[in-house]
Amino acid sequence: MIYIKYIALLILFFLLHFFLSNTWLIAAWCLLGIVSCTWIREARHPLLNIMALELVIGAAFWTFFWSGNEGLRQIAYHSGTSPVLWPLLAIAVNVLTAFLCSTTFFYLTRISVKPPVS
Amino acid sequence: MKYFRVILLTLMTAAWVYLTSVHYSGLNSIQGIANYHDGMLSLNAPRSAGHKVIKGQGKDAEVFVDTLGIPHIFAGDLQGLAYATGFMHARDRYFQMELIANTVMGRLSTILGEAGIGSDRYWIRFELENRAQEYLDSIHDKAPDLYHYLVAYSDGVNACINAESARERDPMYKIWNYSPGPWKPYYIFLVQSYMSSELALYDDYFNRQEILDKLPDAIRQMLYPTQPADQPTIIPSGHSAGHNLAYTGSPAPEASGGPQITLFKPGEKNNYIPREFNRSLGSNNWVVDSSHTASGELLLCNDLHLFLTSPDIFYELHLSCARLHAYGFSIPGVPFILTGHNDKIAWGITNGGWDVTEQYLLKVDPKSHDNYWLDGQWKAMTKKDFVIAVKDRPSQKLTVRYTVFGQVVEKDTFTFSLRWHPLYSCNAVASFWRLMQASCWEEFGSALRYYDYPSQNFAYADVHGNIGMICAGKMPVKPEGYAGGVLDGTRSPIDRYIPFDSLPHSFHPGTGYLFSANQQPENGKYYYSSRWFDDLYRPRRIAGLLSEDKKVGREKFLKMQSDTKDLSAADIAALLKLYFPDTMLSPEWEKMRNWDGVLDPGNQEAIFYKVFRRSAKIEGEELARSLGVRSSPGYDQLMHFLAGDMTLSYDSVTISSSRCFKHIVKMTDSLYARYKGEKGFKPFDFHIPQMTLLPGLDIDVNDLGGSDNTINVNYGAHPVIRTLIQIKNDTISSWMINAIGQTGRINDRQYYQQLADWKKNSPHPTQFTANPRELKYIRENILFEHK
Repeated sequence: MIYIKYIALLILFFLLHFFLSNTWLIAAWCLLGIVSCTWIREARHPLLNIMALELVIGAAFWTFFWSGNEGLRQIAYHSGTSPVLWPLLAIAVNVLTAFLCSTTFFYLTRISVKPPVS
Repeated sequence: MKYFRVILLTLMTAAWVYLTSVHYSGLNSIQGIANYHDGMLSLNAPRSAGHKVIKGQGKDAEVFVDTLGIPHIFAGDLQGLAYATGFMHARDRYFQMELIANTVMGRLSTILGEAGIGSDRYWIRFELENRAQEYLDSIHDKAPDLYHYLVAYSDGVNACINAESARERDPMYKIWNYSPGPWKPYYIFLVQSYMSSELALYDDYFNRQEILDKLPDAIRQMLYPTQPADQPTIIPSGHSAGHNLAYTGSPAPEASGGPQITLFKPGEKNNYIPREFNRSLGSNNWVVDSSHTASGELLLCNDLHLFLTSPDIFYELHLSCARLHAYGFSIPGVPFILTGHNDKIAWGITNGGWDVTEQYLLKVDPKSHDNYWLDGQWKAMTKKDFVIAVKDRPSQKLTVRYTVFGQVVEKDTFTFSLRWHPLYSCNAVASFWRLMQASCWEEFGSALRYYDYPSQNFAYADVHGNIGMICAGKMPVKPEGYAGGVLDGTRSPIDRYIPFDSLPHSFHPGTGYLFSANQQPENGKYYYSSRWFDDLYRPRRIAGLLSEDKKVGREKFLKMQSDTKDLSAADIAALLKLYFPDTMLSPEWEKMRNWDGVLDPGNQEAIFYKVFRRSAKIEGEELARSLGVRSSPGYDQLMHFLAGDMTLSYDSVTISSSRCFKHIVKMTDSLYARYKGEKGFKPFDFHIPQMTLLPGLDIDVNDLGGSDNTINVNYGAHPVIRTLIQIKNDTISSWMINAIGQTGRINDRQYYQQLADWKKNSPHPTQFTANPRELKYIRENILFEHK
């Protein structure tokens, strides 16, 4: 069940990266933190899973969209940097932001919502 | 403890989100750059191959883009040409075009944020946007063809911008978090104003005034002369061609002018700090007739020396329609060939550097600072309020006062009015419009009759075998005896200009050649500038090479364009002979006695020469300090003084050529000993910055020689483009090179495609043909069709 949830989230966030940027994406990650606490409760390391999820999305974007981008290669060439630097930096910023936003809202949710009595 | 951790985590997250979302210095935020949706990685590479049909409001035209990114535009009429030119300019350089237009309108802060405020405070007070609009309105009836040409150009620019999605734009828009605005037909006049400012808005009149006020004639004529003696002028009347050594001749003649007012008393300190101006800006052009060439052809060369950025300001263009067939370099925003040729004539330009800026010292009413004394009465200044919009910051307000001369400036303890003549006239646009359609010397002259700013020296050649030169511009007449200082602001300005027919010009000179390298145009009755002494070795070198009794060809001129021989080396050898005839100096100095002056970056003498130049600069500054003036003499002037072997006294100060040179020798030895041990000491290396000075995008150049004295200038400015035009048997062929590349888009392979060839001066042959089927190396074809 947990994997289905993550696959659903993976597809959802892959699409969100297509359509949202900056503030909206940050809001989505915050919601993800809340969802992690209230919906994906079974996960052992929910926050690390979110990082992994973002990494997979980044890798997918790299593979499908950026690796063949001639413009990106030219930017790297003209700025004396490596063509992998720009995607790596972008993924790092997104992974870190996703991790921090969802973690914060995960814990904020956890301390404000009583755990269900088993 | 649990709550404390959550609070800490929340603070950390907030800090991260804030730091990555904030716009530093107007730049896009890290989140804005890094997001996948519309960040840097979402940008598409420019589509620049294949066949494309663009349907719209445009005119019929077809563009063939070759592998260097040069558009060959064929159209049914002039408006079609303009439309397609606008489209191509915008596609490759729109960010640069907007940057220039916004700079001149005083709106740079809307692009760069706080970093642009200083520039906006400077520019907005000229009110150039309103003036540009008026100029456009004024040509509506006077020159309807030109008016419609400019409107069609503007339509083409906007068609390109409107067709581009955010992902297809120049990456600079993403980096600066800015969206392009529409291009308006009158922006072309802003580009003209920008060039007029870059090339001639001098701000050194107070320093010149100090020299005129404080120094006696003997010292002034030696170190700060108004007119250099025995130098090759642009118009060849009585210059000694072939005389290569600059200062072994007689000293300059007696002073030909003096101060108009008295401002500085002896011993009084001058705290006026002028706006920085790049003294190396200039250019070379030369033209030779058939008597000078091996196979009877005419040759015209032109290289323009400007501060080099990527992209540089020029854009290569080929225009062809029934009424016009021209090839050469344009400026994005200006749909004309500025230097190049059509099928009948060829032309090249260099900066005139005339004094078209005037600073009038005002007498301000002590009771009311808004009144000034003019023609025997107090007059009220007018006031205007401006608002400077700043990206991501509150707007700024600015109030500027004006007199009949222009804006009022308070700097140090002075209140003066700045009269910048290019504000009042903007005819260069119409001149270039006619120039590129001219077919003979008469039409060339009539195109330049109303040319105004920036003043330029136009070299000319045509298919009939004629050569010529016109120093064109709208030069304000100065008061009698003016020698370059501050003007009297208590009298109304002279509102006269030198008539076109009196401007320096030459047609078919006896020499068989003509050239200009920013030197004095002629030894005539009119004053043009007092800065000729900054450029003496370069014209001498060109004069020397052109006057050699040889039949030249294209190869010789290509070599000449890359020439890095500095004639001051001969003067250094002469100075060593004069002051150290029998003394053994350091090995480096001994080599200098026989050095040929070629500034090759790997050559030890060349490196030692660079150290010598640093010492000479320091010595010049010390000399100025001892004389009590702010401006130090330029290198050329200092060498003039050193070669004179003289001792001059002023007040309690005595300056001696011999002492100065000996001091320079000592200082050079000591500096060289220090520098040669340093690993990073590479005096010929330079960087080409990106046009918005973004760090990390500099291009390092470390294999070029040259100095400010060499034909191939490599010091502060560089030959941003070079052209070589040959006219043989009624046919015009040309070779051209751009220092960087055609496009300003960093994600395009043509961004600095021509750099390697530019360094070797290996220009490409241009494809000047009226038949598109003869074009080669075409990688893209764009067809513009009516809807």
